[in-house]
Amino acid sequence: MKRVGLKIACASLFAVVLFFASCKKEDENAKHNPTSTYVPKNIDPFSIFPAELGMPSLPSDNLLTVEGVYLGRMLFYDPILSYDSSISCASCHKQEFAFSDPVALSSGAFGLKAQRNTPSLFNMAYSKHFFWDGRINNLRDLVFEPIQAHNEMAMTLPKLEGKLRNVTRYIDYFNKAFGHAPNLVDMSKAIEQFMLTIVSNGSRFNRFFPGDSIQLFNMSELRGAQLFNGLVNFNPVTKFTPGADCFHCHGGELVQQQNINMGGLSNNGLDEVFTDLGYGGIVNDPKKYGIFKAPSLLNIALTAPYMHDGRFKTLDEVIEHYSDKMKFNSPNIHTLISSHGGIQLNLTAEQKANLKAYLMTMTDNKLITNPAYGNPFKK
Amino acid sequence: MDKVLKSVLFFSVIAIVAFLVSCETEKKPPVTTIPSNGVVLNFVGLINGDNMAGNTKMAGKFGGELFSVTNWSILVSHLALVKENGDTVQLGDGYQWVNFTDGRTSFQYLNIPEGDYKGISFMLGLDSLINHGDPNKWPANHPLNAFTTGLHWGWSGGYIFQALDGNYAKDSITSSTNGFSFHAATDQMKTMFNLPFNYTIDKTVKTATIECALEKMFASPNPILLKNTAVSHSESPAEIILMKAILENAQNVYKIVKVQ
Repeated sequence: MKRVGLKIACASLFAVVLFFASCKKEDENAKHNPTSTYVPKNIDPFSIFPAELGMPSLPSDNLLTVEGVYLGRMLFYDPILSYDSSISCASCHKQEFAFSDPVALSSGAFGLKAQRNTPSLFNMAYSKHFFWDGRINNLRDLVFEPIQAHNEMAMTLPKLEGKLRNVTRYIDYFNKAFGHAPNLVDMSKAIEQFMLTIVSNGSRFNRFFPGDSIQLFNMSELRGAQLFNGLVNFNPVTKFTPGADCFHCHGGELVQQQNINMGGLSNNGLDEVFTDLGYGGIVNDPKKYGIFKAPSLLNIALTAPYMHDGRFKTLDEVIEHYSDKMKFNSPNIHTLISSHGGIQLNLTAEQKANLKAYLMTMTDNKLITNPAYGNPFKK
Repeated sequence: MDKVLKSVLFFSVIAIVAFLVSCETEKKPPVTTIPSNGVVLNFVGLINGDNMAGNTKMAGKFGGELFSVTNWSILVSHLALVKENGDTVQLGDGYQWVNFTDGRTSFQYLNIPEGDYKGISFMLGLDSLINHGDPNKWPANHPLNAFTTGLHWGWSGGYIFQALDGNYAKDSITSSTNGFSFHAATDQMKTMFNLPFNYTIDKTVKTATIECALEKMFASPNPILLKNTAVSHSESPAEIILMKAILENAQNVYKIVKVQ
């Protein structure tokens, strides 16, 4: 009886050990090294996103933390993300130009040119469609595109992960931010965190909006605001219009339409024959060829050259296009343009100057000087 | 020794049971709550009887004119079920954004009082205080969040209650088109809709199918030819008259066809 009892007791003890071992296993899977016990410091979203813009819909599985944002900022500025360690995100997205590049097409690894003009980066927490063709709908996925593009960073993902795992500061910060050794998923989440925090609403336009602080503007800027936000309404005799209807595609406090059907993605009459299919190429729909994302016009004075291919060097050229050179026969031209009845706006020189003056109020100097968005490696 | 053995045996058995229970817990399927007393409103966008769902059928014809739709979106408030005695049961907070173009057309509401109902009602548009309030105060995915819907002037004009945009053929010979754009906005464009239909809410989730026939927006009692009047942003006197005519036609657009 004692022997049987001993056997049962041994078997039972084995089961007990098994029980605790099974619990232990899960914990160990979560930890890759001892520093993972570090608890990252959460960032209160209300300290990032101003009440005037409201609270965006943030990813619930990637809460903003001090360590995560800083890691993302380091990665954004680190050329280690490119194949030959020559190009960082910031090489083309330069803070002083509202995170755009003052050339038509940026230079990537091995001197190759990007396919399209480098878009500015700010207020991305409020956007749902990224890239000129709107093909990506979250920042986490966006990260992998320029990294792997042969004419941008030309990197392979296995090589990138290997490089990150050999850098002490990344071993340290990945563990602090995510509790893991450097890996690609957490890399994309860190860069997502950093990009989410880039907010621009410090321009004179933002203080003027929604138009009840007229003392902030001079007469030319106010007239420009009226023109920008007025509807096209031609005088039947003179064909003069007091409104240029810019706001449908570039409206609201973000100066950007977010609804893709309301002008967020549109053909703005640049070409009658498309060399770049834009959104239509992504969804493989000829009825959407030549359609591109309408960018925010905040900081527009900083982000020349303009359009998806950087064809216009100045704001004057942009205004000239919308006023006098609209190609109404462009297939799939947006209905809000084609509803003008094929008549050019023919803005007067004074109207053009007023419109430009209004656009110049949209520059946010805080965005381009805020050290929280700057190069963390710069001494 | 016997006592020790008994103790070891006792705690071991407890541990084994605990182990088995812990394993069992993981194997249990997730508990699902069966919704009850609910209704799903299913707005079905139609053009000449064809379903717009999936963006596959977005072209139609009215009054001899061919047209295609690129955008049809409405903002409603006071969305409610109408009881047999005329009382209303508000659905959620009463606001909804129906986006026919992108297929945001189906909405579920639970915990609806059981009983007999005689219809569904809603107002196209918003009460004045809401219409001219801060559009950024609403949560990110709320129907009144301006960034989410894009249905806001971004200026003191308030919200756009209905956006209907598209193209129509200039003539029957060439394939060239002109755009049309009808944006209903400003307080005076608020329009009530009462859709009659008798149904009962019980302990199940009923689906109310509301057909929305777009071409009727141009039909009766105010026939509208796009070649004559293709734009109204509810601003100038002529545009206001045109938009009111469109919204009068809209009374024939929405119809409950079944609740089951």
